Amino acid sequence: MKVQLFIFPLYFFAISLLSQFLVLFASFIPLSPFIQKFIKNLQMASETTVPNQEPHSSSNKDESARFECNICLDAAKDAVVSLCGHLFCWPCLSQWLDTRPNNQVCPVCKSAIDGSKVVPIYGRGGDSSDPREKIPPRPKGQRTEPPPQSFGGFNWGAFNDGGMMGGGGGHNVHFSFGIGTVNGLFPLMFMLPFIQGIFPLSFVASLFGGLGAGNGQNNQAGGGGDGAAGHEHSHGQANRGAHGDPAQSGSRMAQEEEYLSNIFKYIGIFMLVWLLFV
Amino acid sequence: MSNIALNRLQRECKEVVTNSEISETGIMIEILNENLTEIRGHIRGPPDTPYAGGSFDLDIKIPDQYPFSPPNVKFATKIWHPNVSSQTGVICLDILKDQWAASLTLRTVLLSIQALMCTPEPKDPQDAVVAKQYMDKPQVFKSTAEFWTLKFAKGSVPVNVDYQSRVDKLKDMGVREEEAISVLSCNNWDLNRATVYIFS
Repeated sequence: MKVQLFIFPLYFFAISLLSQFLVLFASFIPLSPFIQKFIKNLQMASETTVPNQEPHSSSNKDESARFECNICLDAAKDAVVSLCGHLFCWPCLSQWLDTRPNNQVCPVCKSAIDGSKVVPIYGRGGDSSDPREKIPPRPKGQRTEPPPQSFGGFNWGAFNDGGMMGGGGGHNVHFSFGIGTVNGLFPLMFMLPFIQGIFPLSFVASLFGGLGAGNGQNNQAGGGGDGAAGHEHSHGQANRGAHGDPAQSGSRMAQEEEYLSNIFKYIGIFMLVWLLFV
Repeated sequence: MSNIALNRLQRECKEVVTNSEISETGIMIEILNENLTEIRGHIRGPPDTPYAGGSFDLDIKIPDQYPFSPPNVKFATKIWHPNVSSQTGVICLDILKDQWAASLTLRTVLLSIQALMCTPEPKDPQDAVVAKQYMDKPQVFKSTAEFWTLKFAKGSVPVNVDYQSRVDKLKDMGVREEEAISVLSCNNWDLNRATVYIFS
């Protein structure tokens, strides 16, 4: 029993790995056509987001003047904006600050200005302006990392999701078993990393489940005759699946997940029984 | 001159040379040479000032460092104003010196000068004699400035007969009209002091 206790966490690790592979495997084989469709949808989506906007004629003078450099009065190249909100070409502003090192003020509003604290503006267009070596490089944008998203929070959020029964169910099995057979917190502590380790893959599994459901609906809609609408719909569904939205109970997605979770549960139970009796 | 300056000046000229600008604000520019280093500006004397009705010309010289250095602007038309030299036309205006900003344009400079004509700053004078007269004898300053506007800036106010007769007396003594007006103005139109000043 002592030896078993010691290798207990290892078994759990093995179980979790195995079950994840199985879930993945199970989801891949029947869903592969759906996955292909999903990829197709993704490609089409990316094509539709390609901008087909016509180049705006510069007839509206006031509109274009809004983005003119305040120094050269031309469209701002290597645009920077001062903290007081005034737009300049970086070469122009740099030269302006160089001409009066003792009096660094904004050329428009005369507020104090610091060459290293202006904000560059990165538009979508490529950098077509000639690189001017003489001037110092335009300062980098000041970006701050968002606060790190704690895994625990995500984990609990997922647990609360109705659609995560596949993953959640698996965990519950492990938990109840751990508490039921071995008294004490020690094994639980060992289990925790594996429970967490299990999670991302079970999330992936639910993703594929969502895919399958979305494409299934697509097929139904296509049968109804409105092919285009069906496609749109399925695309939305696939995206929602990918984002891990909870499945609606009774939908095909939920059914599939339940099915997966059952498989998962049985495998777990089987492994535990095997562990206890061998 | 750098390329940026030339491009910018062309834009500035276009900005000023519009009908609305001439009719609304009375400022105008005229390009004197091809590389835009010398420009002639025109300002209409603002209403309700001694300069009303006058047309004032300014010499604008664009330095090589423009727009990072201010343009060199002075009055070509003689003007009686505390912040403008009555002899040379040099203007005392902060934005043409240390307060110059690269975002200022010929248009804003001319408008600033027009505003300066409306509200003189006698405490920071360019011409101390004019400033003293402005503070001590505002009525004399007003009539003198009007006389100058009429004489040099084609003003439309009726001529001040009293002042004109004193100028004519000096002219009879062989003094040029311009010098006569200037000396009389500096001496608060005291003919005797002006005569002494000229012939001593």
